Amino acid sequence: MEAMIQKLLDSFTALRERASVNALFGEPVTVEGRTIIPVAKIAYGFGMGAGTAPVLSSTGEQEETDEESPSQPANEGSGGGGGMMGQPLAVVEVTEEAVRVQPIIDEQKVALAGTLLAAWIVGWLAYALMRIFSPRRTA
Amino acid sequence: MNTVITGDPIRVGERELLPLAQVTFSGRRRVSLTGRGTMAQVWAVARLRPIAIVERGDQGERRISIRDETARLLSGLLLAAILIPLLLEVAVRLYRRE
Repeated sequence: MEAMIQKLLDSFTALRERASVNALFGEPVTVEGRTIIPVAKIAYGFGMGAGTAPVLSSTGEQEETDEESPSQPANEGSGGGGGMMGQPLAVVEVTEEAVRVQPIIDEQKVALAGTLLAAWIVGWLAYALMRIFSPRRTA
Repeated sequence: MNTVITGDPIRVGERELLPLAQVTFSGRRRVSLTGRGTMAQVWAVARLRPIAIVERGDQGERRISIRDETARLLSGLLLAAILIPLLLEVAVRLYRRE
């Protein structure tokens, strides 16, 4: 169990130390005198957990541990998961004259957000017009 | 934790490009040892975002920013989604006051 906990703690430290800029900038590609370097943003994470609990007898009492046999079985469990996400951000274009950064726009995401915004505004406009043209209540 | 880190220089012809990125790291590790058992939890999330590229050449150094245009557009749309209902509400109140 101690080894497993140590492994968890080691992976935590490793994740922190391995964060490298080189993962964000791709290999330069030269085509017709222009060199293109793809640039992305990335995010990754993980979560893990492990635990042990003493073996209980049928009455719910904790069983006595035999000092001479430390290998007595215990209830153990562990689990974990992780994920990674990468998204293209821009392209660095290097020519003989200059270095330029061309942003990459996720048009699908922007279009979806724009459609949702349009629906949101239409809803609010309808609500505002209803309030303006509805007859006022008198006390 | 937020830090800016520098990558390996990329050489393109006469130029040297030095990538810069911002690393946002958050995580937690917890170990508890009690009489009733042992428990360990670890979680960590790291975000790496390129922020600029430094061009080094014969004419000196030049920093070129790398912006997340998608995030900028989405932030603008979100701001509009908050501001437009507020403006409509103000307009309705002003109209009804008259």
